[in-house]
Amino acid sequence: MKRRHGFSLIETMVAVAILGILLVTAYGGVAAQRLESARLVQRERALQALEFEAEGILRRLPTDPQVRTLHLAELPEAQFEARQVQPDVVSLTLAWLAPGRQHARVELMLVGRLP
Amino acid sequence: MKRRGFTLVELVVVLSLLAVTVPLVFSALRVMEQDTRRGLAQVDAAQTARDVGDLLRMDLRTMNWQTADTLVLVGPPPCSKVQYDIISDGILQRRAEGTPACAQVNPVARHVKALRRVHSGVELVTGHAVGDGPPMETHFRLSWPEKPL
Repeated sequence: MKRRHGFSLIETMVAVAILGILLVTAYGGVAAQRLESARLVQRERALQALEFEAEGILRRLPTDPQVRTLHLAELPEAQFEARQVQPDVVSLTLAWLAPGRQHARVELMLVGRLP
Repeated sequence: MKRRGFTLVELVVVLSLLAVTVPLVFSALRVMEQDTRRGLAQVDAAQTARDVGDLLRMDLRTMNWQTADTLVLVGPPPCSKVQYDIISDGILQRRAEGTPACAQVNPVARHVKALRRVHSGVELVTGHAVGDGPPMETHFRLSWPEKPL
């Protein structure tokens, strides 16, 4: 029987396929991490927007609607809501469409004797 | 006759395949590395915005901007004056003047490219090196309702 030398086509294809799968898996992890970072930045923007509103309530200062608009413009499909949950509790909520078409939401609760 | 080693054709084929696959693999790894750096830079930028926002918000509870366009706050003792400056290497520094309890100079954040006054707040720009190109900039608007000057 003639002795075979080198790799067969199947072996080469399997090796390349495994390499491809490893690269795709690794890139998937990196892409997920990148998406999560982008979400974190948007979450920080949302928190800044809510803290702007909270400062207005706590310091009894009027909040400029133009500034609110600028804050919300940085978040796709942003929806802001402020509601009195209990006599001493105000809930400030901001929902938006995060990267990856996921719905995100942050809530800031102001608890205590509010002005 | 038993053949030993590889023929020239086999070597040429293998080297050609390697010449194609190795750059592909390395460029993919490079893209991954840059994406990872970008992600980490964004996390750092968000944390910087949190730190700077908290500090400015705290200062503005007792102090007021000196003028409409500078990063100087003035107020009653113990801290009569607080100034924010970007010193070398993108370090944001807070310099407080007043009673000994207040007077101090502290680094607040790194990778700060700009901090400028805008309507009802400041705009913070962070800059992170993520590769050979220009630094990656992230902009944040930090706002608060302002007392009249």
